[in-house]
Amino acid sequence: MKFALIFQNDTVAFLPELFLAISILVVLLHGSFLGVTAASLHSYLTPSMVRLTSGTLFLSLLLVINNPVESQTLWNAIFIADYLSTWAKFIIFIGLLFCVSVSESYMFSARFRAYEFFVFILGIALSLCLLISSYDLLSIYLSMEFLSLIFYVLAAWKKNSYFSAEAGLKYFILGSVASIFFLFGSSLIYFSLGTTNLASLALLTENLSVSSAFIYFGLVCIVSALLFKLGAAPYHMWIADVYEGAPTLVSLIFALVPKVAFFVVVLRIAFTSFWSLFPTLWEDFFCICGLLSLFIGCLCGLGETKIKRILAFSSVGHVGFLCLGLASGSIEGIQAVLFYLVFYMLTAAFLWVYVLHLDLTSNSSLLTFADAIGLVRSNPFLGFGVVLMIFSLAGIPPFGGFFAKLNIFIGLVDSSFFIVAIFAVLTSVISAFYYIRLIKIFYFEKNNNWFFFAPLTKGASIVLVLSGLIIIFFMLSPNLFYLLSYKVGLGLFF
Amino acid sequence: MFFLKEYYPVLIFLGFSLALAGVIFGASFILAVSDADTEKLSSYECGFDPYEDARNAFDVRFYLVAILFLLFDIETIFLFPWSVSLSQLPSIGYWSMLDFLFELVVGFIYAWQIGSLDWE
Amino acid sequence: MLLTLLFIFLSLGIVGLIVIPSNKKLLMRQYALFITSVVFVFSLLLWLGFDQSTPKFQYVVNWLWLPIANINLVLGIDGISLFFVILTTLIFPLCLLASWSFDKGDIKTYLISFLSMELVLLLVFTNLDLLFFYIFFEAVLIPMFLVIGIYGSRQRKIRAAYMFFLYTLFGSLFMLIGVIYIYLFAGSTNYESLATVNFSNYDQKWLWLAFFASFAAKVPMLPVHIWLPEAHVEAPTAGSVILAGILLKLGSYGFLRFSLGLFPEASVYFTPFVFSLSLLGVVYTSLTAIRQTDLKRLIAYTSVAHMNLVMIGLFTGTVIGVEAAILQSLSHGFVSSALFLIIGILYDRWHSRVVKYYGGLTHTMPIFIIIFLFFTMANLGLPGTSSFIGEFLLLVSAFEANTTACFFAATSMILGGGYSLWLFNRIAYGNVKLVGFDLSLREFILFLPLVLGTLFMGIYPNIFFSVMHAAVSNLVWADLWM
Repeated sequence: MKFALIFQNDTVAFLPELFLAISILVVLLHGSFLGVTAASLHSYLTPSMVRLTSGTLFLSLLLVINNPVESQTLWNAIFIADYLSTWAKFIIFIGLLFCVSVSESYMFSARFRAYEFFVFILGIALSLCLLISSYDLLSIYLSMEFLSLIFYVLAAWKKNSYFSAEAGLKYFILGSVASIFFLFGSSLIYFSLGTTNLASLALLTENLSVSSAFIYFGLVCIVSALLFKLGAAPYHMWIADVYEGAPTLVSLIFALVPKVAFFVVVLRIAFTSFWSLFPTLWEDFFCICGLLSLFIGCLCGLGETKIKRILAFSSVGHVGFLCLGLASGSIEGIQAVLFYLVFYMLTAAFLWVYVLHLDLTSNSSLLTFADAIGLVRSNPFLGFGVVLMIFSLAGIPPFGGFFAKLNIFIGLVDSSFFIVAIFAVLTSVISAFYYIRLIKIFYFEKNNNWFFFAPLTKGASIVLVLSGLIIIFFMLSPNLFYLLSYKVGLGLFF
Repeated sequence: MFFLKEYYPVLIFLGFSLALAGVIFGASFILAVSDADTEKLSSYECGFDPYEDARNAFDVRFYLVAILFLLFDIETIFLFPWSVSLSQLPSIGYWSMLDFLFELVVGFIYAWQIGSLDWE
Repeated sequence: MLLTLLFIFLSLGIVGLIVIPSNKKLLMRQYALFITSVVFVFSLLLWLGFDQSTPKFQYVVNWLWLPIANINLVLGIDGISLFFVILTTLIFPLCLLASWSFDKGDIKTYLISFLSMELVLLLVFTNLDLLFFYIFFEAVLIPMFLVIGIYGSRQRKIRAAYMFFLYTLFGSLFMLIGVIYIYLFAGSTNYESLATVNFSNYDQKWLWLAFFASFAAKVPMLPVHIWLPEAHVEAPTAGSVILAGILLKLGSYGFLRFSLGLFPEASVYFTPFVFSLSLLGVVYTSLTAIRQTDLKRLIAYTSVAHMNLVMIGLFTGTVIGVEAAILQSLSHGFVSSALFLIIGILYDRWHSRVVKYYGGLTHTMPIFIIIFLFFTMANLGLPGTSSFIGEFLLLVSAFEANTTACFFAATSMILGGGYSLWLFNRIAYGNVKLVGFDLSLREFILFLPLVLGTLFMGIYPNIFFSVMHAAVSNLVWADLWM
């Protein structure tokens, strides 16, 4: 068994992924045998699936934390295990655990009887893990496709809804175009540099005095595809329709988890392999994308009346802030991006879980503002929490969102992007307008109808309390996280 | 562009296949006797009209069977080169194919269990 | 230690209020009143233990928030901030008392908003860290926004709440960029460390303008004062009192502490600018006040005039001017709060704020009219009341600095007499238009501390000046030295 010796370390560092891959098979078999025979599908099967899935996710989380390898490339340098990947995997496992814990009640009342959903969740976990640890353009592409295929299926999950079908189709077609761009870009880079490995690319471009136009063009294609998946501005067309059309549970997953992984990939490409092109390419590119996203995010959100669309446009705006964090191109910028990602994920988790609750309790399926009116009187605690989270999204101090934005601003000013910072400030005022319009709806509107107290489900309340507590903890004592993100950021450069 | 010359065989292969396809199609177009009668224009055994609107509702079970067929067909294509070169492979080659087959079997069991192989 | 205790007590008080079930309204009111009164006693203890002889910050609390990046929450009190703290802690129990019979919507949210507002305001006034100052300065928006939006009287309240929120937010985000620049330039946001940093002339000007954008919207200076009448009119009585009594002081406090303290040269450079804007504000808003038909709107415009007068005092750059500006701020905090409470009492009884609706109240509500007269006189600066001391000293120092400015500023006394007496005449004299009860005991108690405070400040101002003196002269002389 010679290969066992060669790949001994690789296997150890790759344990979470291997475990996930095996457990997908197990969960699939479990579901398919108990799924068809069980007479009452959603009263019997789903709890066991939830338990299995969350157990698997939790165990993989432990495996990730317990990873003995500090920094090493795996399987002939197509994957890597380092601080960044450990950190990002930790975050996405937490996010997916959130998703799983709210899914049970949703599937019960929306009459989803498909156990495959949980297999898909594990698939998402696996593909995101692979994406995060990818260290080669091809492995990035393959794991991205793996992820996207699952997402296409999930977006079109509600078979009898036109919205869902539209969402699925749009996402599929536009997503495929984006993937093609990625592939095209990587082939251009392979053409001009002869390798797709990120570390080798870094070595090749380090002392590049005159680089060919192919490299630039290829890089623009690659990063455009990644920004498409993130929903940054010139590539944001799909995001509102897909968020609106997909089942709310699926929109929750879209909003929560993939951002972290895609930003990790962008970080690796921009800061590790093509760091030398930073002043000529990345700075302008990220600045333009960031500002555009900010403007689109704040202007398009102004006229919307549907909550899910508002949240979609707000996510465009936040991706804009993240892009600006990248544009500053310093360790502070990376730190700010990592900080922002965590805060955004937690806040989005809170709000989307609320939207999920609204989806279950309100009569109409459109989820307009009118459905949210009675909230503060029917459930004051939840209403108060949602209002605080919206203030946090708007970046009003002293909430977490403010500190996240503050870090981005510090990065920008540190790199002397004064004008950009001022534009970002202006857009955050405009977007504050629609955030406080949401608050107006919750608090100030008079409702003529009756409204009823609708208790939150157990899973949802656990998620709400947890995300709220983590945000408060980081607000009161950000030291730990600050250090951690610094360490992760340093790992990118060296 | 020096390394492009390694692709000459591919170019020749492409040209040859294009020419062959053209010859076959052209020959059948020119030589074949086109003589439509009622039997030829009526439904086939499977129950479809040979000439009709392409957007008609089409039974989804055909797609399922087609997709499953494609999948297992591709697995066979993987298996052929492996079995030819198995004697030269190290043990990792053997085990990775076994792993592949194992996953394939799991997928097969899944397809079986949800009933996509049943026609009714 | 005392300061820490105060904040812990207040925070625990808010938590306790959350725990009380929301159907026990009376208990909640009593509890909130108790908390705020104890906080007031705490603040008086702060005054008692205050060392007048030093300009240094006292009762310093240092909480290591983010020591790696050198951002820590530092709290402390000096002669400048002490009275703002006491003003805040005094106004809040009065507000709760004034809204004792207020029963519109959810009382719990109302009380929580007020207590958290008090907490944040105290944090602003005691803060010695620029970043945290910004944070709490902004955070005040949230409870106030909710109070205006939820508990306001008319449908226009939403517009008012929006204006209040967006004007302030827009201004202060420029300050945020300024704070970040300072942080990156100096490596710290601690006020005491920053006081030793020399910013270049060019930097000072830009930073001063960035800070100006934020503070000017709060004071408010002329072009950005639009939000103030709206917000004051639409807010419930207690909200207007807080807005006029305390929130406006945030602007002048910010100017005093940061613009004057950190950018002395830019402050000198921009003094003509500030003078002209303030004078425009004084004259324009006084004239506007005369032709208002809404009681609250009228008082709101007089607030703008008075606060602009304070700005002139601050930028004279003399010890007397700055001290007089502080005293005038305090006095305005007492007098305009009292006037808003008076209007609140009228509104409680007849639900109207139109001046024409009222008349001849001397006949039916004599005690009320006496108190109203007292505060009208205080508003126009009658000797013996606190405003006289403030305005007189302000004008004296303005005369010293710029005679023309003094001339225009002095017109505010005359115009002030115009609108105050005009208002008083319409409401107090004439035919009896309305019949109502005179002040109840609760309402009388409400005004007692304000009357006493105004008289006390007017008759024996030295006790206030002696506390401020060390800190203010340190600030002003340090500026002149540079």
